Amino acid sequence: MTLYIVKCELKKIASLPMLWIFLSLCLILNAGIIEGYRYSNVDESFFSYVKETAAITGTELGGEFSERLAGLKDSEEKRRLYEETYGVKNIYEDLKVVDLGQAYISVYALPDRWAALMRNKYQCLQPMVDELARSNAGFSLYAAGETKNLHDLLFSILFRTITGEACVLAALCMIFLYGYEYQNKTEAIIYTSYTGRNIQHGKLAAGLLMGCFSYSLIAGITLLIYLGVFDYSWIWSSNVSGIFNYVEEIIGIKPFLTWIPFTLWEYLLVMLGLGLMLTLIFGLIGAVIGRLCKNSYIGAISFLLLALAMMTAPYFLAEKDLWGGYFVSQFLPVCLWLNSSVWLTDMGIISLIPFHETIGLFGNVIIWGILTAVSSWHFSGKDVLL
Amino acid sequence: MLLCMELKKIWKPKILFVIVLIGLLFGYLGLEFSLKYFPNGHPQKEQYQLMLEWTEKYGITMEEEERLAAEEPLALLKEQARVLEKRDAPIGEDDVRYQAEALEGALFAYDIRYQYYYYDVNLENCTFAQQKRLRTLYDEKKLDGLLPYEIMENAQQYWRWGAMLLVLNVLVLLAPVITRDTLTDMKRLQYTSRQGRNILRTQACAMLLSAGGIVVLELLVLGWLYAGLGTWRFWKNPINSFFYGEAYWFDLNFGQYLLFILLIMVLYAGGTAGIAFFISCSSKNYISLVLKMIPIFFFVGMLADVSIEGLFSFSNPLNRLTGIAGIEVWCGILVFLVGMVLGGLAYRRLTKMRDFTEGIF
Repeated sequence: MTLYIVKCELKKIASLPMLWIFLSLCLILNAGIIEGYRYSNVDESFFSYVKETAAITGTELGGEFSERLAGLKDSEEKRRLYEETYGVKNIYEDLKVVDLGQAYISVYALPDRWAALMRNKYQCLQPMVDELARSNAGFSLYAAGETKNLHDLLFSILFRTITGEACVLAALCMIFLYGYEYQNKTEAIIYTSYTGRNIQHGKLAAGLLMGCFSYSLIAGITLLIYLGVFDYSWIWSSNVSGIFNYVEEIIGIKPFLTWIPFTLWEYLLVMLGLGLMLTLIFGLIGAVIGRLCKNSYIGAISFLLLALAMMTAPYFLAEKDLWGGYFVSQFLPVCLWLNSSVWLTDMGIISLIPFHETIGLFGNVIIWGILTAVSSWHFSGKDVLL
Repeated sequence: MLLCMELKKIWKPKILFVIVLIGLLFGYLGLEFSLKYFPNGHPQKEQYQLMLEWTEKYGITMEEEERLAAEEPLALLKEQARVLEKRDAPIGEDDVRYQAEALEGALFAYDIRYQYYYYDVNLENCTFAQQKRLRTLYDEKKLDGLLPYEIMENAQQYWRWGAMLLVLNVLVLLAPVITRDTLTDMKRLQYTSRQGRNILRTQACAMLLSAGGIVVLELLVLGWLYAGLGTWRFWKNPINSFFYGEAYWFDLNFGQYLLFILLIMVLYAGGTAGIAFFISCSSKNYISLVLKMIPIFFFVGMLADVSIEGLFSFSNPLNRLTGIAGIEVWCGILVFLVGMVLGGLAYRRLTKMRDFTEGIF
C-alpha cells in the first residue's frame, strides 16, 4: 500500500510541467556557466597541451618530468609548462600547519577558548600534511597552471550551483506534496480514508525520492557536459592537494589540505555523495515547513526566509563577537552549502573540527529527521479543519 | 470599491510582514556593508574628506590655480608624517600620514588626468566610439570634476542590491494574486457577477498600483538610509572626475546619476509587475508559481544588477558586450515593455477565454 501511495505521490510531482521546465532551465544555466567560464578563464590550448605532454612526461613533477619536457618540441605552451614545473619543491616537507591556525587566530582576534580549539584542529591536521610530504602529493601535475581555474569551476561554481538547484527543488517538491490536499480541498476525504494521515509517510518518501532524482539528473547531465568539454580521463588519479591547487583566503594563499588524501576521482565521488545528503536534508526541511504551513506559497516564502536567516546568521554572530554562535551556525544547512567549495579540507576560520561538513551533514539529517517526525506526530493529533 | 477590495487582497498583513523580514535579512546581507563601512578604510576616508573640503572651497571642479592653493598643506603634512615615521609611532585613526597620502594621491591624479598614458593602457581595447568620447573628455577639459573615488562604487553597490530586493519584493507581493483566486475557485463567482471579466481589469490596475506602492515605499526607505551617508553634498559634482579612473558616456552630475539609477529600478520593477501578472494568470498552483518566480527573479534581478554596475561607464558589462552608450536604460525599458506586453497578453487571453477553467495556454 505504501509503495502504491509513493507511486501516486510521485505521479503528482511528475505531472507538474513547471518542474521539468525548471530542470531544463537549471541544465541550460549550468551549460551556460561552463561555456562562459571556458572562454573567459580557461586556457584550453594549454590544458590540451598538458594532456598530450602528460602521456610522455608522466603526471609527477620532478627532475625526470622536466628533463622529458625539455626534450619536446618548443612552443609557447611548453615554455609556460616548463616555467611552472621546473624546480618545484615539496611544499609539504617543512609545512607547519599550526602557523596557519595562528594566522587565523591573529587576523580574526579569536578569544583564547576558540583559539585553543583552532590550534588543536591544525595540530590534528599535521600528521596528514606529513603524509602528503612522504607521498610526494605536492608533485602531482593535475592540470598544471590551469588547475585552479578548473578546480574552481568544477567544485566551487558548478558543484555549488548543482546542489543549490537540487536542494531548492527537493524542498519545493516536498512543500508541494504536503500542501496538495489543502490546496485541492481533499483533506477531509484523504484523512478519513483507511490510509488516513499515514499518507504523509508516502509523501515523505516520494519527496525524498524526487529530491534524489533531481540531484542525480542535474549532476549527471552537468558533469557529462563538463567532461565533454574538458577531457579529464588523464587526471583522475591526480592528488587534489597538488602544488597547483590552492585556496585564497584573507590570510593569503594556502595549499588545498584535505583530511585524508584524495585523488580527483575519489574527491568528486565523495563530494557527489555529500551533495546528495545535503539535498535530502533540504527535502526534510521542506517536509517540516510543508507540515507546518498548509498554504504552499506561505511554505515556499517561509523556506526563503529560513534560507536567508541561515545565510545571515554567521555574519551577524561574527560581527557581535559571538564566536560560539558563529561556529555553531556554520553547521546550518545553507552555510554548509555556501562552504561546499572547501568541504573535506581544513576549512579555515569556518570550522574547529576535522570533517566539519560530514559531521554537519549527518547531524542535520538526524536533527531534521527528528523535526520531521515531531511535526508528523503533531499533525497526527491535529484537527484537520483548523 | 472593487479596486479597494483587490488592494486589500494584495496588501495583506502577513505578506507585508514577510516583505519587511525579507528586506531586513536581504538588506543585512547586501546593504549593510555599503552603509556601515563608507568610506571604507584608509586613505579612502581621508580622500573623501578632502573632496568634501575642496568642494566647499573650490566648487564642483578644480582649476589649475586652485590646485596650487590645494597643494599648500602638503609640505607640512609630509613633514609631520616624516617625524611620525622616524619615531616609529603607531598609526592612529586620524593619522597625519593618511592625510598626506590622500592629498598627495589626489594632486597626482589631478596632474595626470589629461595625460594620454592614464588611459592608453585601455586605448587599444577601446572601440571607435569610446576613443571619440575619451577625446571629447580631453579636448573639452571635462575631467576637472571633484568626486571621491569610493562614492560611485558605494552608490552602485548599494543600489544594485536595492534593485534586486525591489524585484524580489514585487514578485513576492504580486505573483500570488490571480493564482489565489484560481485555487479558491473565486473565478466562477467573479465571472458570474455583474462585473464579470472586467474584474481582471480591476485586478491588473490593483497590481500596477501595488507595484507603484512597493516601489515608492522601498525607494523611500532605501533613500532615507542612503541619505544618512551624506553623499548628497556631492549632488552637483560631475561624475567625470579626475579622481575616479572611469570614463563615462554622459556629462551628468552625481545627483542626475542617482536619479538614473532610480529610473532603472522603477523600469525593472514595472516590468517585473507585468511579468508577475502573467505568471500569476498562468499558474494553477503555488509551487508552479514559485518555480516560475525563481528564474524570473534571477534573470531580471541579474539584469538590474549588471545595469547598475558601472552605469554609463565603459566598464559596465552590458556596455562592454554591446558597445552602446546608455544600453542600461534601454535594457530597463525593454524589460518594462516585455512585462507590459506579457501582462497585456495574459489579460487579453483570460478575458477572451471560453472555458476559464483552462490555463491561459
